[in-house]
Amino acid sequence: MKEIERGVSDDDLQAYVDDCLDPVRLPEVEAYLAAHPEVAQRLEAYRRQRQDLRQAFAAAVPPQPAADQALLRQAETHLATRQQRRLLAAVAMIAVIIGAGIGGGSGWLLRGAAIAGGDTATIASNGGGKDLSGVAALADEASAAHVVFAADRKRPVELDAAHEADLTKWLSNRLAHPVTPVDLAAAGFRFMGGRLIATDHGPAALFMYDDDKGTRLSLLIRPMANADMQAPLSAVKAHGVDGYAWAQHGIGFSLVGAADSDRLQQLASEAQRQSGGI
Amino acid sequence: MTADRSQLNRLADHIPALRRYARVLSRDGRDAEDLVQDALLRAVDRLRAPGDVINMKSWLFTILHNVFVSRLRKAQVRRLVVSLDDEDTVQPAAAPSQEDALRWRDLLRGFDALPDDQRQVLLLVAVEGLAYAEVAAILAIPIGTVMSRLSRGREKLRQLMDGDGQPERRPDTRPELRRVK
Repeated sequence: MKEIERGVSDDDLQAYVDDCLDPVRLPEVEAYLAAHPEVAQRLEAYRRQRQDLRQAFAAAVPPQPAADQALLRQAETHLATRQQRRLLAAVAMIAVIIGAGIGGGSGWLLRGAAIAGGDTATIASNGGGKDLSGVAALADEASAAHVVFAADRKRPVELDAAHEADLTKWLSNRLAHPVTPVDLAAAGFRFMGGRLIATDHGPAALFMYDDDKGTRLSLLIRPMANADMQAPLSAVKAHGVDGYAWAQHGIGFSLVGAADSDRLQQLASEAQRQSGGI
Repeated sequence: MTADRSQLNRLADHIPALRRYARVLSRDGRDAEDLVQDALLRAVDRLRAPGDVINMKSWLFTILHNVFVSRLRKAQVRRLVVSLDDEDTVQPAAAPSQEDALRWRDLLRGFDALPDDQRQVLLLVAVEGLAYAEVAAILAIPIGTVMSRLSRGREKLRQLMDGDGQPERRPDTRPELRRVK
């Protein structure tokens, strides 16, 4: 509909309804409406319609705070993963440059305590942190997840210890392998809960523990992907987090956290013992 | 350099608005939630420095719209034909008066009877309060097209709701109702 009279266009009328008419045009439009009450009536109906639509939508699409939070957590995880990838890429780039200067790096250091400081070089020699496999990948994934989730004061786990049965069932289904959290209470670490995480090698279970001082540990468990189906307990370090990794019968484990190395080793041995190895 | 928590919180403020637009785009509750999720992840991918995105709402709507369009293309989905009965799943949550609830339900039925392009413009302008230029940018159409869709959508909905408050469906109004530009 094109109601052009004295320069008043349909666009002007719409803008009038939406309260965004250029103030310079306002007197002209008002004069026009005064002279055309049927048009004024129609515009009034549009305003009511706008108000009604807002209320109707508010009722039809009600607030969903819980769903909002779930979406946000997803976005947060997504963001953290992306940032970590970037950081890794940057670190790897630097390490490649340094490595080239020195004349080559070593492999992923996976032996005993001879680890300290070897992080950057090892990532570079493993192709920018992307092509890790076996126990090294396990440790990398556990540490990356630990950095993200252990730092989360509000919601470190998706299902807490009170829902252990649900958690265990869920994770076992998704991993197509029975997984249960190990019990580290004797060593002073409480089971907090866990979650499912995504890795380059498929889904993994992530269990979290803490002690009275607030120290948190993460235990990652997933089926191994064609490498290191059986691997002895080894010290690992990735993303600035110390830990231990091992594999038995095709299932990989990595326990990482901020505890000191001796303690971590004891805890890892205990976890290994409980999970059926040695 | 990268997005942070405060930006995520800024995203959160717009989730309800995204849901409304997703519902208008998809005409389906579950698809709508999926769309919102995709759009948020995509938004997170694109966030850079704080303050990077000046008009967050409009920017998010653009992403949501693009997600929707690319899905349509991918699936080569035929236009969703929704019978009015499907809209019965709309449940007013906040316990408005019975009378209001009925009126709003009827209004949404009328709204859903409009062509998609008019529904989108009407939601973005009337419900979300976006500027015409923002809507033009989101939908990637000229501003003149926004204005004509808005004008036709408003008038059509007014006519539909006129009288007893029920959407009229007289056969003789059909040619006009079907005109889509």
